[in-house]
Amino acid sequence: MGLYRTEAVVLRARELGETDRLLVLYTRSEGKVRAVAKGVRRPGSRLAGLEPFTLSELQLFQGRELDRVIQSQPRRGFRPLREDLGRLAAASYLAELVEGLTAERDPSPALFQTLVAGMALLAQGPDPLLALRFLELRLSALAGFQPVLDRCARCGGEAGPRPAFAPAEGGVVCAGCRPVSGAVSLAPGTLASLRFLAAAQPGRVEVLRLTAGANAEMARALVGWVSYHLERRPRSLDFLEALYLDAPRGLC
Amino acid sequence: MSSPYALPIARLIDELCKLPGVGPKTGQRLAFHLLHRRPEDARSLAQAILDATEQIGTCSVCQNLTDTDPCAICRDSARDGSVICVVEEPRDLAAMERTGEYRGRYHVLQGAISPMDGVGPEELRIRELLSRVQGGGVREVILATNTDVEGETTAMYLARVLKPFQVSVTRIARGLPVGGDLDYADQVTLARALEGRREV
Ligand SMILES: [Zn+2]
Ligand SMILES: [Zn+2]
Repeated sequence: MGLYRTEAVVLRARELGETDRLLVLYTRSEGKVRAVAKGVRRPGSRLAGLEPFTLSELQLFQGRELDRVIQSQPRRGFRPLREDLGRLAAASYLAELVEGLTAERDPSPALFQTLVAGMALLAQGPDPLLALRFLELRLSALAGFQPVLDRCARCGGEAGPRPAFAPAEGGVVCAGCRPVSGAVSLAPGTLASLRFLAAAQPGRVEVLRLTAGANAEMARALVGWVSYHLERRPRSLDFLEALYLDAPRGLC
Repeated sequence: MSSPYALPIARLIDELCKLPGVGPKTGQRLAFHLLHRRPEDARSLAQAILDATEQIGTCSVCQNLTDTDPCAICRDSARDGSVICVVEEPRDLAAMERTGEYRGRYHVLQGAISPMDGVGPEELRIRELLSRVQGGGVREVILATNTDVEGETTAMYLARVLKPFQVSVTRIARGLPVGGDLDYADQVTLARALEGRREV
């Protein structure tokens, strides 16, 4: 393929050698790509917009192990993500989710769009934590892990009056199918909110108003869901939780 | 696979290869370079490594690497103890010192917050900073962490936890790098450079 041009969001950046930077990108045309930006830390470098959480138009050269950034033109900086601690921590979590849920060079334009919409929601929206719940649902679905929410994932019957969320069963389960461990009880209202979020457009997410209890249930259910599919608890969650711990709202 | 070299050479190459950025080729080259030097050169190098690793510890005040505790900067009564400049690493302190402009004291965090890597505030020397500030006599804390995401995260976090104290918290100005072209700067950098403008 050699040289190619695509839009990309920087998920992660690491210093490499004296002046280079190693990047994990999520690109529109190629999906997740690892690339090196040579000389980017040298004063006067013409490569800009290669900081995490930036959307840029890139020209890349495909290498055997690493691609190489030839040109970059920043498009959107999502500035609040760099200047508000809570939003920044949320963006770190979003980037970790995308990196963890995707394979290299497995493009999904829908996932790319969700990522960009997600960065915008986290940057400007009134409720970054609710936005994260939406993103956990949507990104895992786009990565092939869509939870069953409309009926019991185990018996196929009604979720019933006392539903629970069980990642290992594939989603919501009725009271009769609830496993002994690893399930989160859901109030019926929380299940309705989960169904709403699963189908919502990004712009509609924040019409949802949740009680602290519903927030906590939803967070436990969805963090459990992504942890189950990542096969580990996302690392960014500790910092995010520490930040929101004394916040008035329910946390992650 | 047995090494083609005599045991002492193989062992030397082995040890050198444990250094960062040293692969087998470089390890061999360094080993033969050392073997061609005078024996006293080799002894002097070995002694320097031993001295540094055995005599260098952490300053109990500023957490910088030092051979005395407190370190020379913390003991220097000519320096202004009411100003603390917070940096990520000892090499950042060294860079600050090279400017020759700063006469206050330092605090070395020994890293930066990186949520994605699981490096949180507890992994850094933040508690030590807070107890210094709590101890009184500090007027200003200058946040001189890097301008990358980890450095910004750390600075914002410190600003938050320092808020309850009667101390002014400042951030070093971030702007365009010297030699940076305006049209290639990203929006965040440019916006900050504009905010940080000064009268000329
Ligand atoms: Zn059932
Ligand atoms: Zn000291």
